[in-house]
Amino acid sequence: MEVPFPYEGIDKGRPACKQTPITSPDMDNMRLYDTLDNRARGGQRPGQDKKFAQQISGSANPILAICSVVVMD
Amino acid sequence: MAIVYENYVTGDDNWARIVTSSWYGQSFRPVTSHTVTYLRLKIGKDGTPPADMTVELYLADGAGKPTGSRLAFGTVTDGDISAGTGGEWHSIALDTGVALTAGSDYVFYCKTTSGGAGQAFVLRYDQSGATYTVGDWTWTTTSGSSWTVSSGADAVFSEWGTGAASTPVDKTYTKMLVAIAGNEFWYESSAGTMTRFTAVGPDDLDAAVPLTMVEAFQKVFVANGSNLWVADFSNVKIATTDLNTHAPDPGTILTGGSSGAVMVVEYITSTTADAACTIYGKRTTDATFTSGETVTGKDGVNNDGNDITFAISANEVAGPFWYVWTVFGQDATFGTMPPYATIVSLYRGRVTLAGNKYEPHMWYQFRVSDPFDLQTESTDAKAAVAGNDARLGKIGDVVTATVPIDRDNWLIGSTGEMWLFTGDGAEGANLDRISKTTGMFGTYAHCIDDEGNVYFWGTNGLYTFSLPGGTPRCISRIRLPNIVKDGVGGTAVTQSSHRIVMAHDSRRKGILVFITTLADGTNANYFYDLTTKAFFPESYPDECGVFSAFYYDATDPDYRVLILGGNDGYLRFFDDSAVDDDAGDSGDTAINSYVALGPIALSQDPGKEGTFTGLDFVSAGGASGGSQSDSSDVGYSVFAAPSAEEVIEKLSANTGPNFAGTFTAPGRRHGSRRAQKISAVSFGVRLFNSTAAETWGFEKLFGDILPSGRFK
Repeated sequence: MEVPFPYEGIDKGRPACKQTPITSPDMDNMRLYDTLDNRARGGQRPGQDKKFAQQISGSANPILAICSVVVMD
Repeated sequence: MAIVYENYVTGDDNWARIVTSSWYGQSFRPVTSHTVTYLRLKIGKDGTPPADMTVELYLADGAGKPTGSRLAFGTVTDGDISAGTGGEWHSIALDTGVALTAGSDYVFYCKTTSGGAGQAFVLRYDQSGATYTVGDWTWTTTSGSSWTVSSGADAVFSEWGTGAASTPVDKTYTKMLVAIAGNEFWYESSAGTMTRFTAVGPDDLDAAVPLTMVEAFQKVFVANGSNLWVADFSNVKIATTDLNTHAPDPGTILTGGSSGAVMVVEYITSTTADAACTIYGKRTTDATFTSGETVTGKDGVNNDGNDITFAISANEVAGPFWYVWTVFGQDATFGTMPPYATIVSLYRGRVTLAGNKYEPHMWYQFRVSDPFDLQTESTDAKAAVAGNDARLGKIGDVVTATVPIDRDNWLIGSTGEMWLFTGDGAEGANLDRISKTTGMFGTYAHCIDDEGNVYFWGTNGLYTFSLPGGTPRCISRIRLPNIVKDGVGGTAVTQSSHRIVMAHDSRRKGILVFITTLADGTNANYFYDLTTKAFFPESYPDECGVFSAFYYDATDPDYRVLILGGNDGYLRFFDDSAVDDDAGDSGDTAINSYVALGPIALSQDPGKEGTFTGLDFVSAGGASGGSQSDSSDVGYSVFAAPSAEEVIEKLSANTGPNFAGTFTAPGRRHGSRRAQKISAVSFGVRLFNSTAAETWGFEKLFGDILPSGRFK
């Protein structure tokens, strides 16, 4: 008996006895494509990493809005 | 072909007589290495010079005085120059091209062998308030035995030459990221570095009031309640204490009388005659506006109206600038700003506003390409437009979001309805209600994928629709019927306590839904995989709770990612090489990842049990250290129960497994099979890893089942 990775993600809406093998009743921090080799086999999600070293506002305040602006040289 | 390098070409207000022992010139410092081939000087004559004048080029010492051997020279004869001390520009070709080094100092001077008053060439210069900053007026009265440097004066000059073969340049713009946190506005001052915009005052923004911003016309427009601001990255600024009779109009061309600088006016702070005014516009010349000069132009649509003339009170100032967003000149001719707005967007070249708490059902669209004109009584096709989302005779619902889908469709979300605005407001647009059963949760609760499908958070969870003609349908209803009620940690999602941010991750082909508690950053999130139309729940450290998200199409590919605005003020992204979450000041935090598999029936006959005899697992990675990336070890827990739902309960509670252990990774190992006999109707397996600095991948899970007896 082979149990596949639930590539159709989480499903909490069906009768318990009708849970399909390609869905999961409970999962967290998993994605279909793994981060190891980007294969569609199931794996831990990518981590969040800083992209800019600076802390906006210099203290722990939520970043309320982000956009970009293009300026002609 | 020669091009100009160092130059200082305006402001000459005096002249110096070149005679036997009195020689005059100028030091300069090239910014770019090049070969100088000729100089242009403003030369006149006081009478008739008895001898030629030579212009000689030297290296300059640390004091700006000539040093070493002459590098090159050129000659000016009497017949080259017209009479009079007013001078004329004249090119002096050097006898040889001289390679100049960027950052090094050089000096040229004019000399002759005879002459005096009424018999001399003259060299024009700026005697007072000269502004060439990397050189000075240099002169001798002792035929070069000693030199004097006058730091407040400069010759008017330009030096011309040829540089290295030019490399083609295709990029003519700079793209910067902008972010707001606390009450501060930060921007990417250099690639990869965010800097606080210090022009923003401590009370200019209020983080306790809803805030949005949008890029338009090389500026950023901020809507933060009664705080409406412009961050202007494109214009220059000039100021006057007295506009005189007529004020410039949008698009007026102003010319500096002395400098020759030219600007196209975009915004001014006042149209009141004889009052002070600050003018922002795009300068189209290299020459800059200088203090005291008279600026002239004509107002009117085609610059063919009244004469404009005023003196400017200071040198031109370069941006960026931060100023209150008002209509042009704060003049009612250009309409009236709403007193309060929290939702700003850009649609069909029009900046739009909504979220006016005094008229919450209203939306406003500025004139096309003019974010300072909200005059809705104009009748031309580009005029500003305002309206509301209501059936005829009705008041309308509270607008919660505006979403420009494409150039022809603008989505207006309200608390309980969805409206689609199509076309241009001044040219027969349509406003149709596309849903009366769901509204849009909030300003950031929407995104669009790369096929133009719209996703948003509505009454019952996640919705989507496509244009043309589509209507919103809830796609979370079947798989996650309690997604709203479950919210974050069992607390139902509400606008007063949660922020929902949505984003499309084009690289990973998915929609991200971030549900974050406003008070503390606790969160519940979903990655909706567009490949399989599947929901994958995610949770992040509180510090990493997402309050904003933006796909940054940076010019540097290293920064071309989906940027996440965190609860703790850091800008993050999903990094495939990151196996933990960087929780900022709290350090790296392990990702607790798990998947529950099952419930799996142990018998095809629901009245019978089966016997589970063993479990084996293959993790990602093949052999350790091989060509495929290696998974870390994976923990497992097996739960068995008489019913499927009881298995689900046990999987969720994750306590008291029938048996548990760890599969050694990567790949499959000898002896990896876990033998264990369990008789039950149904079973489930939980695979997990919560260890710091680890990640894992699923390759295969399989087990052995034997038939058993009837369930009793």
